[in-house]
Amino acid sequence: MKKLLVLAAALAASALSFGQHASTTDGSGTYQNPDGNVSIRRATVILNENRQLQLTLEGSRRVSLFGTWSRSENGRYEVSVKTAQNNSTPR
Amino acid sequence: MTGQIDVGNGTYVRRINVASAEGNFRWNISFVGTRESTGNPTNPTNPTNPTNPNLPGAPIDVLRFTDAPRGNGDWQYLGSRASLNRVTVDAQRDGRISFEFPGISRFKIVARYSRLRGDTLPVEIYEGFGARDVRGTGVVSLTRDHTKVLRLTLNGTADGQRFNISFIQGRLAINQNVQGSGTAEVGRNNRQRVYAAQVILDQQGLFTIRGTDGSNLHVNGTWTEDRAGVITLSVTDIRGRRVSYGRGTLNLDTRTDQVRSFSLSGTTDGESFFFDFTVR
Repeated sequence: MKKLLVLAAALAASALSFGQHASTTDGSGTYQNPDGNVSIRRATVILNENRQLQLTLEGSRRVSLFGTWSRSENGRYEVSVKTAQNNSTPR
Repeated sequence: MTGQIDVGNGTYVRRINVASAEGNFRWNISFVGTRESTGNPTNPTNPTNPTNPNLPGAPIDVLRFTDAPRGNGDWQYLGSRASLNRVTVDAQRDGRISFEFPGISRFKIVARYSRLRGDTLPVEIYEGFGARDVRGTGVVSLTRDHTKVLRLTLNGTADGQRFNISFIQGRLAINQNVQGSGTAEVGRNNRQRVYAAQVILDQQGLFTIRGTDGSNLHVNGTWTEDRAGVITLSVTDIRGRRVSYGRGTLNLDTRTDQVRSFSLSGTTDGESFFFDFTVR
């Protein structure tokens, strides 16, 4: 059990150290989706070394979205976002 | 849906623009970040996020104090320069430290502090002036118990514009040119309206108050602060007169130390004098 915990901690530490970007930011915006509009007051963005994206939007509702990122240049990441529910990319 | 996330220099999200393909407007994310989150961090993984106290790089010396020392200092930004009489410094356990300059700027400067070097606290500035891109460094010298500020310097850029701030804790000292209305009178039938005045209180306990528009009455003496914002004045000299004495009161804004009003009266060369003024 102890070994498993140590392994989990090591993996977590490794994930942190390889993270490309992670932050929580206050601001304003909207998330339009087929269920209606969500006003955003805080966004959490995690872009990891494996080109995975996690986007959490908080405001009138809390929404978690996942996706991928393809390249970064001067702090700008090209991203593709899927919904958490069906894991499909809306077109 | 596809788009861009702009994280600027990496500390927080500047902008998110993501939308579904052309012709389908059902999906869209539009967000403009204004600042690093001040709430509980949703995500604990950002090593550069000062809202997170449990990360590598978080301050080893956890501080918690608020201090609003008086003293003397200099504030320079965007080509303007102002003298500082007071700063408010607030250090949080999560590693953030903020600086306010009452009466000078409505914006806080926010920084992250690192490990103490003796009684000296290095800080890294990341927010201030209402600017989007703020970078700078500073040093705060503290008392031995690490709860009071003795001096500080903050330097950096805000959206490319240089700022330099320095401050040394000390006794109240002010030098203000104020506008408003008042009355100056020496002897009888010599009343003059006053529309502007200069008020100087120095750290040695001497004051000068003089009219700069409407009357040039120039009064000197000594001052003491009896209670917060209330200065008692003792007149010892009026320029151009041989023997003068009298008393007065100067009222300051207790938060900003800005002059609000003053009133002086006494005797000079056997005549009475009176000088009052209220800042507009």
